[in-house]
Amino acid sequence: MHAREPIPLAMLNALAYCPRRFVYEHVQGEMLLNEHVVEGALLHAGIDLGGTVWEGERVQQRRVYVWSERLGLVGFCDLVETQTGAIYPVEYKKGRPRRWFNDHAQLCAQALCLEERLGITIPRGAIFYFAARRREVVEFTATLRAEVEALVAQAHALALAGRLPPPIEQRARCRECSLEPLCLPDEVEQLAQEHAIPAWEESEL
Amino acid sequence: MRGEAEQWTGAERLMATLYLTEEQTTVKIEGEALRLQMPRGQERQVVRVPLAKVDQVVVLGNITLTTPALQALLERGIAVHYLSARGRSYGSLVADWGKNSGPRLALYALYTDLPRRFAAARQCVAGKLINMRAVLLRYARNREDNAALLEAVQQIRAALRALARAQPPAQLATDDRMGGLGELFGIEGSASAAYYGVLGLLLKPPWQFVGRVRRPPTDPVNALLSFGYSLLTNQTTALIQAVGLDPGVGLLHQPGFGKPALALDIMEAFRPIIVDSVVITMINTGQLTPGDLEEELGAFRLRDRARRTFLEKFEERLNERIRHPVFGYQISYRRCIELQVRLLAKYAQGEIPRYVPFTVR
Ligand code: SF4
Repeated sequence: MHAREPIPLAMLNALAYCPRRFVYEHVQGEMLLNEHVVEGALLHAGIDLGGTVWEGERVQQRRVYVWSERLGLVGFCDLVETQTGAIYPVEYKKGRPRRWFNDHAQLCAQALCLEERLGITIPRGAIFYFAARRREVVEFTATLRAEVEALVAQAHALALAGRLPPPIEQRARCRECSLEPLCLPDEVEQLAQEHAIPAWEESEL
Repeated sequence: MRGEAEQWTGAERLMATLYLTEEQTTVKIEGEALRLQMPRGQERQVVRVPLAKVDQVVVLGNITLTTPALQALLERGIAVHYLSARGRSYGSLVADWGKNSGPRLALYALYTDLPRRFAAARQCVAGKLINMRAVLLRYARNREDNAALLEAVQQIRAALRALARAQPPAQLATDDRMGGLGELFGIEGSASAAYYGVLGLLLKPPWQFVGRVRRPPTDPVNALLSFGYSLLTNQTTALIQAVGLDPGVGLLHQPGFGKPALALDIMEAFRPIIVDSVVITMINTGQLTPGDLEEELGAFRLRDRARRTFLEKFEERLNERIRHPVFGYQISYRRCIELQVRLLAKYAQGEIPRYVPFTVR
């Protein structure tokens, strides 16, 4: 048996978005630099410096390294805030709140790591969306926690198998996916149906 | 398209490829730009090219890039290709391969799987033949005396029929130096002979072409073709490396010392429609004259000014947007080549059942 490699928290986000994307990024190391990725990295640069800030009752720790042995996870929290005893993670995202649940999953996984490290329960966290310039509070409900646990199990299974899953059905996500030019979901689907390909062998030459 | 090309003496940025053509130029990095210092006599001209505007660099001749400049290019995944002034390739400098070994291993597995390899190799040959045929037919439509052209088209069609019937050997003889692909090479050879045999008829006098001669090309047209094929090989090799495949392991072409066999496979279909058509058009529109080539010990090379025009036309062709024959959307020829590389990787990885060549009507 292979030792289970920890899954980076950011990769859970990719997996929640699309399993194929997860294998491209985590297993095959593919990353296309498009303007969204670069912009995201630049926005993050301001947060990634690390350090602690005290603001009255509020303590902010930036870029906190967290992990979970139970789940096989590892990664960073952009920000961990402590206020009157309550601790919660804050994740920074460029863009606006989105319909997909991937950002929520990533944040909840951070909370699970913090809970395991600190032996506490974290009921909620927040996502700060740069474009909307506002925080969205995310409750770590039993449902969300169960979804995240299932996601983590799926991540380990995919990482072990290493094979590319087929493109996802929800093509709206593909249109927003930076990997579309290499993943070629529509093209693969078309060419996978062999009879749909014009074959020169049978054509009138 | 023309409007986007910027020009300086000795360095042309044509869309995203920076061609360095002026001998003795020194290239340094200066902030986020390349600083090109031309030699004395060129009024000590200095040119700055922002890195963000460059996808790849082609170095023709004796030109120096400093190590920091090379590092800056590699860091951004910008490949640097070294060519002789004649267009012969010395090799390329590319960023380290990523950890993406899956597609490479799949390609090696495909290489040893004769039936599947044969199928893909056959498609590479088919793409070339279909496109050679398309080029000849296009010209035959516009002329009266097209009997010889149509005869060649018939020969290519016969070759395609033979290709459709070709089967890999049930068992590979240990002394088979063609790796079981001998029949494919035979078919490809006869169709190419028919095609190159009439290519000269497409050229306005006094230009002449009697057949393909390589290494070294001993007449102007062969020199132009060789130069164009070298450029195409470089572009294709860079795309293959960017996708993470090994350009040295081909399916049709046998691996050999320093030979980008996979690039040669992929580009077969693109030779007639990219290089040949650029050469024919430049000759027939008078953009090239026989005086643009100079003879050196029996071999021919393009003079500087003509070479610049050739590079410009070649890049224009790569950036030309067409409707993709299978997928139906508008894309550039350059992206078409990249798609073929990606499709080949997907075929190797078993995602699609067949490698489909790029063909035009
Ligand atoms: S393009 Fe679609 S299928 Fe491919 S990785 Fe992105 S979301 Fe997944």
